[in-house]
Amino acid sequence: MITRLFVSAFLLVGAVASASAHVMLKQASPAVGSTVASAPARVTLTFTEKIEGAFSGATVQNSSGQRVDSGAGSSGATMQISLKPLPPGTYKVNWHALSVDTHKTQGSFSFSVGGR
Amino acid sequence: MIDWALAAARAVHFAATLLLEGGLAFRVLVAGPMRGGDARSLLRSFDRIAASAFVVAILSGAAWLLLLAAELGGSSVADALSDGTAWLLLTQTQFGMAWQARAAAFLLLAICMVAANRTSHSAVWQNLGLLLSIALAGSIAWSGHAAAAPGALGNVHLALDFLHLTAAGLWVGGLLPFTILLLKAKRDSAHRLSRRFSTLTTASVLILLPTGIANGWLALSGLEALTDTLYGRLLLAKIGLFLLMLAFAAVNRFMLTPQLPNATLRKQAHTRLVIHSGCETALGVFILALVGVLGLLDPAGHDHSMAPAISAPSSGAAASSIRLLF
Repeated sequence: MITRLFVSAFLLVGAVASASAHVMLKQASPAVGSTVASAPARVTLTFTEKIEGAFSGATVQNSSGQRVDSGAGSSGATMQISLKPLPPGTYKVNWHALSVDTHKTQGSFSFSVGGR
Repeated sequence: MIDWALAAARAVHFAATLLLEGGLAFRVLVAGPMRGGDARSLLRSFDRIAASAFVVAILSGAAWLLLLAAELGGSSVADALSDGTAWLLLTQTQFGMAWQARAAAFLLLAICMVAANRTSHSAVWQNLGLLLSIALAGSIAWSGHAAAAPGALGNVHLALDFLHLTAAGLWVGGLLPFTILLLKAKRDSAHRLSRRFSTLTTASVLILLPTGIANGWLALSGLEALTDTLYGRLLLAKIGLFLLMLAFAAVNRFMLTPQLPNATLRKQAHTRLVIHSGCETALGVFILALVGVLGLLDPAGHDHSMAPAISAPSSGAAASSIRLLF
């Protein structure tokens, strides 16, 4: 009886063992909402925590919705997205990341490549 | 959006693993010197508790992995198994590596638990089993926030979490066998073992306090976060419950246990001990529940907020959006 009481009490317990943070975008290059003079070779995203490369990625699209990236890779808390040569215009980065403590976040931002 | 099945698997695994560790620790460190006929039946019931906790821990641990894979793949468990998501999680992530190591530890622990029952060198097998269960409890830290923190500070956080978890398991996990002991054992047996359990819980508290303080300091951005954020307020509540548990334990140790040898006071002291350890357990469960909610929150207070990414100083308002998937 006592055992069952304790066991049910234990089972009523909430969830996890320790706090799990959601990874946030700390810094981006090109910066969020910025305009850069010449086309960047890559987009570099720095996150607040280490992320899992196997479950994280990003795409970059031009204003017509076509993909202009050629793959993303991650290491530590950084993700790098290689870019095809970009003509002037506005581009949207859509990223998703899995923090090492298994919480998913996603986000997006835009940047522009200025024409001259 | 909360995946309740995943949350339940995590909760059950956490509770079962701590119960396993605390139960084995009680068996080895506290109830070791028990002798005699009724000692044997008590020890057998402790063994049964540990065995049940073991089975539940293994099943819930596997469920955790599979449900997480399904969540990450955005599909069912069956799909996550067939399309390789589960394998990817198990082999290509830090979480998966930790789970592989823990699975090996569970296997070794099973061998120890069986061997302790079947062979004559049971003490060796029991001690080894206890060490493995401590490793299993502490390694839960690898599924939490500390595991994701970068750099040397992250390693410090991980070590603190490991110690905090193992200490908590020794105390909270030991309360179940302790209460059974108080209810069923002979009075003088109960007295001797109460003192031994008190020593164990004192050691546990001495570890919980500094690791808890250090963890809180690492997780919170400042003292004002204790009152300003939901995480901070829940942490304050957890600390309050912990102090209450401590008060009960202190009364047990310094007031009631010394009364047990006294023939006139014994019966009342014994009853009070049972009630107190019941209260302690309830408090322990509340703390675990609080930690459960704490675990779903971001210590930096970013939950469900549309926190913009940091933008370059020259640009205007950040034009980014972030969605928390779970």
